[in-house]
Amino acid sequence: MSPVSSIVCKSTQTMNPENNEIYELIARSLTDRLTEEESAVLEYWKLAAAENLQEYNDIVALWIKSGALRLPESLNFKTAQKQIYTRTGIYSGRKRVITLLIQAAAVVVLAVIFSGVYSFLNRSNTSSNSNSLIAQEVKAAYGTQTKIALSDGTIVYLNSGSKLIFPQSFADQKQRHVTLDGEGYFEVAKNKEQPFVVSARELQIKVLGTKFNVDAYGNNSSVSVALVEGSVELQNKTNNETLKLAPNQLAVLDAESKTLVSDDVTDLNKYTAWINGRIVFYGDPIQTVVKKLSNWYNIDIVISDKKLESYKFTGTFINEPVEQVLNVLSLTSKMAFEVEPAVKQADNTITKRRIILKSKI
Amino acid sequence: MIDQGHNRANTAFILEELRKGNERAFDFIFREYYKPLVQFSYSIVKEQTAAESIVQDVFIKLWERRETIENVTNLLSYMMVMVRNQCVDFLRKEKSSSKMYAALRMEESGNTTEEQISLNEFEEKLLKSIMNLPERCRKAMEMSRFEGFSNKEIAEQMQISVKGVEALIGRALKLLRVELSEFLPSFASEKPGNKASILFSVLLSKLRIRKALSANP
Repeated sequence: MSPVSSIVCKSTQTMNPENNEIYELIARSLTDRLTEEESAVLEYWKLAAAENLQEYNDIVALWIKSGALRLPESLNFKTAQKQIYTRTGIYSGRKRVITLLIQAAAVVVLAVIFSGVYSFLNRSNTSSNSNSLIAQEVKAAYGTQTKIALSDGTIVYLNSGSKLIFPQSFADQKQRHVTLDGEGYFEVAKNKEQPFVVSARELQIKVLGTKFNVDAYGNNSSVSVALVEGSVELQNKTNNETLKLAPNQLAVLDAESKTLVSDDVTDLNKYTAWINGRIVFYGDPIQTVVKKLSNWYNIDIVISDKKLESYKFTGTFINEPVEQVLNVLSLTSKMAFEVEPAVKQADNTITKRRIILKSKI
Repeated sequence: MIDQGHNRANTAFILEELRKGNERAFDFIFREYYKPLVQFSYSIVKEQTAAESIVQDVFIKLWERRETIENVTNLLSYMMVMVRNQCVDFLRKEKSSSKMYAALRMEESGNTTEEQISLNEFEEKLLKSIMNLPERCRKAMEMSRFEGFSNKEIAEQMQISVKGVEALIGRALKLLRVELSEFLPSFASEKPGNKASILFSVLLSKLRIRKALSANP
């Protein structure tokens, strides 16, 4: 058999365009050198059918045109990465801040979940508006302040020992209704179609979008509302009297006289400092001191000397034990105090700590 | 050939993570797309430092607007649009440099709308198609055509025979040719081949091969 015919025989075997060996050959022709034998095989295939030739031309064109994408120098990923990552602040240590924030959020979420579970187990006393809605209850532990976000974006800060009852969702209701027991600071999300209403003891507070503080601790003889921003309409539930408040005003509903009055306030901070963990006294009488401290620390404070009632107290405290607070207060006034520790009783309950206030003179 | 369903799902997932600010997702996108985007940018501006700088800016922009990205089914396409726009801006600013000027002239010349749109469309589609090739075909193709490795070197790296490398590249070319046929010679041709035209084409192709082989480093 002559060499040419053997080549022809070989190429007839590879004549089928479906056979991938021809592509292997083409690739070799583009990236390396073909032997004489291989060249002949390729040429034969190209001439065998018009489609073959077209395909071949296409592939060569493709190969040549792809040269435009070939970079002259090699890429340095590391420097590119450095450029991009420094300018975006990624992986730069901000990560740690994010982790901390997530941790703080987890604590708040946990608090809400726990109270959610608590209220689920004690479902009998829910607000009348609940119907088919699940009412949730969040309580701030003693000595702490808790921050809650409601489903409409409203933020509520609860002071030590205070409780907020609210529905899981405000959808399909005429109003956004919550109940406060204790002290809460509200930053209400604006919604003209759905007024936000807070029930706090004998007072009903209606708001559109605003920031205000409600002091409705049970042991107070009055309920008070301090308005920071926006406008609220108050309703005295005992006689349906209404009162509109402007910013920097304080309204007080006296539980005994059942009257609702309002007045301008010079230092609003006094009423809202607690949301930042501060206790603020500013020329306040002893009764105010007693109320604030007993609510905050969950202790009983007894005034054993009437003389104390004529004194005024001033001071700002952050995260301090009650004895420290009293120490400082007593430096500027003629007050002394005595602490009675908590006592475990026969039925395994523990009484609150008791502090007895006396006059130094 | 192109597994669109798979890619759509992947893109959706990566974008969701990116939207959430997941830095690892961004890192993944960087590692996957940085080089092809630089290649694309280079094919437009014809200068590597500028091309890299442009793509880096695009990545930064991507991160900055991660929360507002919507209705994107193909992230690579989306980023290519960003790159192309920045390249055009760059070319307009760099009129002084002669190399840039030539590229710019091409951009602003009296090309018909069709031609202007098709500028770099081939490169864009080629890059996308290469990304969609089967993994080993893609690697062999990239190493050979873009990184300039010899078949022997590629064989060593991939731990296969030289013949195996050629088979992978051959397969890649077969698949790519189908994907990009609209940009290739056979698309324009209408008449079926007759003997004379086949001979003529053979002569032409012989010339082309010689040119290809000498041009190929």
